[in-house]
Amino acid sequence: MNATISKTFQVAHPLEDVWANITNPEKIVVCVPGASLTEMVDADNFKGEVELKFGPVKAKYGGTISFLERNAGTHTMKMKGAGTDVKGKGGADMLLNATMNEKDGGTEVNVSMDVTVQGMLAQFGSRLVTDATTHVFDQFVSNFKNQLDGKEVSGSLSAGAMMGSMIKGIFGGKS
Amino acid sequence: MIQCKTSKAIGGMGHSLKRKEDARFIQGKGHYVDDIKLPGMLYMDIVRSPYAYAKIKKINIEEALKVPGVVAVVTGRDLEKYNLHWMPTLMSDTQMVLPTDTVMYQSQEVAAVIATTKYAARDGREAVTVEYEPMKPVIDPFKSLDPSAPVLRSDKEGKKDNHIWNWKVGDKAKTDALFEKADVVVKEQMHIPRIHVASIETCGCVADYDKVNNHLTMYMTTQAPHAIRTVIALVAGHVGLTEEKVRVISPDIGGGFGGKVPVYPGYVIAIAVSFLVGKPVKWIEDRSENLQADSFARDYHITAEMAGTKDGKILGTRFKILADHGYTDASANPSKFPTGMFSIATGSYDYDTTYMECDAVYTNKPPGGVAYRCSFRVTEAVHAIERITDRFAFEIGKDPADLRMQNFIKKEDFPWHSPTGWIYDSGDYHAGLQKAMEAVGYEQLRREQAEKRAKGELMGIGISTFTEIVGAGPSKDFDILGIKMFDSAEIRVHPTGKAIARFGTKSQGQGHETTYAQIIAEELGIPAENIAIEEGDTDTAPYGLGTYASRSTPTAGAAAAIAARKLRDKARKIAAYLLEVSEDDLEWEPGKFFVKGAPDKAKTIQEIVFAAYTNHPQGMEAGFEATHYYDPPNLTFPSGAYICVVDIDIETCEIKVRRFVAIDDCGNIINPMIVQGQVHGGLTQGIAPAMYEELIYDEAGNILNGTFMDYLVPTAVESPNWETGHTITPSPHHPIGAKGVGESPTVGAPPAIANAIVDALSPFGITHLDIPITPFKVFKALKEKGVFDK
Amino acid sequence: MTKTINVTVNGTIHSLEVEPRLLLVHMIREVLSLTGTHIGCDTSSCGACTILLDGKSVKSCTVLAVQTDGKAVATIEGLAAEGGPLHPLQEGFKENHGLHCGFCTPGMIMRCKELLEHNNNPTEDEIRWGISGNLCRCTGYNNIVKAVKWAGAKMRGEETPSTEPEFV
Repeated sequence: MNATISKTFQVAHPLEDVWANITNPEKIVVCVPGASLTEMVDADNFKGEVELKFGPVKAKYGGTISFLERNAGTHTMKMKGAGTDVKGKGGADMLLNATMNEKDGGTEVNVSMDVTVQGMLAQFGSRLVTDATTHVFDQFVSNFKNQLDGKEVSGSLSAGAMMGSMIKGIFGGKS
Repeated sequence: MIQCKTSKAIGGMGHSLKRKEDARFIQGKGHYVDDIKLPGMLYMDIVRSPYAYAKIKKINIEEALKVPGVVAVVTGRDLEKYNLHWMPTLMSDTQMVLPTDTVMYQSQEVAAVIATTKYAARDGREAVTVEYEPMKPVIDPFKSLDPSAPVLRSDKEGKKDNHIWNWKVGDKAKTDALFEKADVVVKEQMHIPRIHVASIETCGCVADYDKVNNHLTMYMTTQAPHAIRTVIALVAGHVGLTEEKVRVISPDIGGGFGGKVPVYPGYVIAIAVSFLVGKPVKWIEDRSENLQADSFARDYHITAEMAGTKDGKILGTRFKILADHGYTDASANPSKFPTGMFSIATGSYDYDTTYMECDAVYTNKPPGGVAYRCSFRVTEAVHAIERITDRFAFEIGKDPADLRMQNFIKKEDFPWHSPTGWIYDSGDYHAGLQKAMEAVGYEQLRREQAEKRAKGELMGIGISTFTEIVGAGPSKDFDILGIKMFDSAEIRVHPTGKAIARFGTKSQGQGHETTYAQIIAEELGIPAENIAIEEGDTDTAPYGLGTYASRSTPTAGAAAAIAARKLRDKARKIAAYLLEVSEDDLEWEPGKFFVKGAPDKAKTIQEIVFAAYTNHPQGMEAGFEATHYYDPPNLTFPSGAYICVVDIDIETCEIKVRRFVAIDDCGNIINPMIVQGQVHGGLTQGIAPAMYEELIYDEAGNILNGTFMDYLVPTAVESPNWETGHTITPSPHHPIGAKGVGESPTVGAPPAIANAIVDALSPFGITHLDIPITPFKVFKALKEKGVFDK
Repeated sequence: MTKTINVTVNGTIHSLEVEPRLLLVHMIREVLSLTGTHIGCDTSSCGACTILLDGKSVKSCTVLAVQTDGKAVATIEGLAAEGGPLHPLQEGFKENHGLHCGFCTPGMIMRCKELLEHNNNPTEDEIRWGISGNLCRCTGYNNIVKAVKWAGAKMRGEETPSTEPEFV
């Protein structure tokens, strides 16, 4: 089961600040709803956990996250996450590409995320994966903006909002 | 009209006798495997793989063992100690019982949790954690032979690719030459989807090993108890479970359809655990396990071609198949027939040139290849020939009914030698189609269709005129794991003239308790209601290969008739003795022998049987019993003519089956009510893959519809009101002229439905759609043709 | 941790100690040994476990045993006294060959009981929609429809239709 999402958004912060934030594992990981950083292996590799709830299925993934590329010259970042359900019920892989450039005094960020899930979540949640991933992604973006603004970052995934966005999606009111 | 030779009171062949087995089922007193409860019984639940292909790094069982009630967790490493971690498949491939290091498909068994209650076993299952290292699976069979594809069966020494076997039949050179020069050649690529029998009862067992007597009683949902006993003895003989120490009991079965032929790992684990702990172990799979891990059916990718003349004469066919067998070849086929009876694909038509070839491949999907209410891959064959025949008719602009009438094998040409080597026993295909056309009002429907087309409405008429091949089979060619495919009947008539008969087959709803009694009633004149029928206990029943592939009536039914005839011969001797006349002076009518010309000088069968125990002629063996093992001289070839009418809403693309007429020819009919019931049920299992059912896997090998919420078994709403009828062409070689019927409708219905839908869409140039044909598929096809452009 | 419930099953009151998570179908089958109610799926899709709860047909795999405290459960075993006359539906299913393997039959009959209590003269369409929550894999439903019509006629005190198979 596969979902690909891309998004472009604008933040009112200088390019280098945004770059520093997005390439700092301690900062970027907490922006992912339900995620926490558990161990820094080295500068490019670290370990973390993500907890997700898709309808009736709750999954907690433990895994490794690696920076495949951090090019400060082109402001291009590639990150790969590979996790398995801690109870052995499945796994998920994520590939995140981000590029950014200066725009109107702030920064424009292009992010694309490619998520593949396997196991029980894929079996039972296949119809929800794209919608849910979109929602996770939206929350990630909002957390990221808040973090830059020095506001609080919401750590857990708000299931209510997620169901709301999915129901809207099902009935055609795609935002 | 069916002629009965016996009175209603005797209830022999042709009577719509009400079923003897129903009394218990309608009162909740059926006895299924899950109803068995033995003292000290333990419950087993199975941990399954979330990955289609992964290395097992570690199985953590400590937490599970802490769960109250959990007594053991069994892994492949545990079974390895007893060499029970692998088992043979019916096709002489090998299959893991529990893996030691690699899982090969999603939902594969990984470990078994044993506990004192069902709930504790499930809690234990949740507490087992497994660490995997996922690998990239091979899901698409078309990519499985790529040089870059990983070799899945690295457990097999020297295996360098994912190819299992190649099979071919027919004359390639002749066929290729014909296709080179033929005026008309049509070709379609078809997929016969991966589906699941989904009997309402899932699979399960209670393995009860008695350490004191070194004896195993295996209660099990099996369609072939005797073969299972032999397999258990072959697999576990080395640990002391030799065949006389094993008793397999197949109680009432809640539907089989082929899914209860194979041996699944769960059965073997239950036996192993019971053997080790000396307690009964119950394993009942749940629905998702059933759909996700038990044997699938079909999954043939077929390139079908037909060559013919411009005026509609069929000259030849060519079929190329890619068979996706999943992780192992666990098909349930006779040993010498890796593609089952696919070579019946030449169909009901008179031509002599064909070539068929199949390559089977491994993928990371569950193993299988069972019937789904069909005789060994006949559904695939019939779909291919009936679809491509319609395609040919479309190509040359001929009515598909006319084209079929033009090409049918003629009644007088039977027995007919098919180009793939079968000898069709009998048939009257023209009469069948004629009857179906009259019943449905074919001419009128074609006129209506023309009017609707003029108005832009979508209506389709589809025909399928199929030939089945059932009753496996003659020992010359047919065996399963070396055991010849005969079947058996043993009849014991008690002194008071009532009887019990036992069989090597096993009913799963077919009504054997009624129909076998009717066969014996027909032959002996003992009322069917006084004949008890017993099947499924290997300690009491004679050896037989079981019930599947519509083989019970052709094999065990024949055995019953012949065993009864042996008894009738004995009865004649006794009657002659009692009436003090020569045997030649006696005449038989159902229920009595009488002296020719003196009908009041008679002895009833009951009087004769009583004498067999109380006053038998000196020198004659006492008692009144006979057994027969029937080795059929040929297979039987039921046929049918089906016509389906569909209406498609061009706005919503919803497909509505308006009418469906099925005319079946299964030879002589034992019980018309039961035959009709079998046809109804088979037709619903025909509409199922035609319009609703398919097991869908994503590119990572996740099954996307592994529960009844997503796997769409037709309800009473999807299932139309079936209209059925019959023609009767007895089988000339079968003792009672019967052919078998349970599967014909499942085989014949899908192409009739597909042909009707494609016919409705043909004005747009649509020539083929793969089943299941859903509204979405219709929408996509119409959209591609630009129907919704304006 | 268990909870005490008082539940009437087929007319008999039982006081049972049950785990709060115990499913009603398991209470019926395992605790009370009434094995006529079957389990065919784990998603409330098949209807093999259909029973009547206070007269309403429910799928007992989706009801907790504790929810039946103070209520009345009716299963197939209670439909007719053992050895006594059959319920018209039981008779109808037998007479019209409305069952093959028998596994879906108890749930199907219990569902039809409620159906006929609401409407003792349903049309074919009403019957088909009425039993659409119960799967049968064997019969193709034709004869189940016929059985329900037959039982309806019997319950209305009318002459029952022919049970002979009709061929085209």
